[in-house]
Amino acid sequence: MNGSVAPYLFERKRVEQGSPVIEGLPEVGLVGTIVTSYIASQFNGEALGYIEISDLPPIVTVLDSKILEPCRMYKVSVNSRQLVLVYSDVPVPPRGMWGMANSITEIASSTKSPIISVGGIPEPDRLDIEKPKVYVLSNDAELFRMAEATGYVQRFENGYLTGVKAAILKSAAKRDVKVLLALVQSHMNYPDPGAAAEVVTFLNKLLGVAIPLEPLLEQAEQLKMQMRDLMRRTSTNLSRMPIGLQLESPPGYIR
Amino acid sequence: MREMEEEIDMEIENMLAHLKELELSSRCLEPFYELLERPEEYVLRVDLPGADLDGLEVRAGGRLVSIYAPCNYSVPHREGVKTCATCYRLEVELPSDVSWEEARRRYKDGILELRIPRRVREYRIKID
Repeated sequence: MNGSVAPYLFERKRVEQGSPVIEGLPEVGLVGTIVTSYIASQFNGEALGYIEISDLPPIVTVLDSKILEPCRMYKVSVNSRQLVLVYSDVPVPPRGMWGMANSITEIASSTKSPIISVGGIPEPDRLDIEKPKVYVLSNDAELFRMAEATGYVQRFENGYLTGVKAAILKSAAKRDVKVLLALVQSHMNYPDPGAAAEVVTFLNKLLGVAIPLEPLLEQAEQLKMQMRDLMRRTSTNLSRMPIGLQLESPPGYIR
Repeated sequence: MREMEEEIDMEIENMLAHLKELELSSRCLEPFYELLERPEEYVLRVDLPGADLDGLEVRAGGRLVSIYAPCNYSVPHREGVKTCATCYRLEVELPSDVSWEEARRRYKDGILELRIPRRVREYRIKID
């Protein structure tokens, strides 16, 4: 494990202790990106800071003439529950993943927050699945129990995880941060708003909030078009990761 | 090793820039697609969000399939400037002969799926 921490700015004092940190960086089906950007826009996310993506050439995002870091954090209040969202306009290159994961766990540790890491898990027959399944995994028994108690998820039992999510799990163990992974069956190479909606439904049940789903589903086609460039970059990025491992099963133990 | 990775990064950036340039100048998007090779058939899935289905054209012959669909793609870019496109266009060559007469198509969640049976010319070899 690489211990480098990507430089970040985080206004810790504006965050209530224990507020969940929802990580949704661009990966399979852009599920995490859709979820975090949707919640941020629905609930008028307030900027909380940024995390520099190591190993990228100099890039800034310009939105409404504001100069921003591509990877940003927002604070939202949903039904008086505070959430911290980690979102990025560009994918994190493989060499920057450790730094990113270490920063996220350090930030969560500073506010004693659990991390809810949301994303997609590639499903080749996604087109035939009306209601994609959400799989959960946690390094904390209580968080695992709470997720399963929603009755909306299945336990992630066997398989591999790669990329930022794997790095977050490893980094969290070092900092004693609780992590819950929520991964939904998703298209691998197309943005998947339908899969993102399932994650939002799960978050509603887990956190006891009511994030509306209709606007997300109504603007699904527009979202897919809007995220086209990011999807292409993300697919290229994923092709440099052992993403095929996520379709494989570990050999396990011989009993 | 590091130098090699940087060279690959540069190649990828050039390719992405070239693709984007092409799309912007032609106002025609190359849709994302995947081709699954199954024992009996090829499954071609093409993502066409915002496509006008009335104008969707799928032409096929030999191993080649071409797909055209008008669309109204418009994403805000800079003040007063939008990245626009008026159609999707894709041409895919299949790896072996197929039977187009038996091909089926469906459109679901913005994705066009073609199932094209392979034309199999093969002999069963008996194992003694």
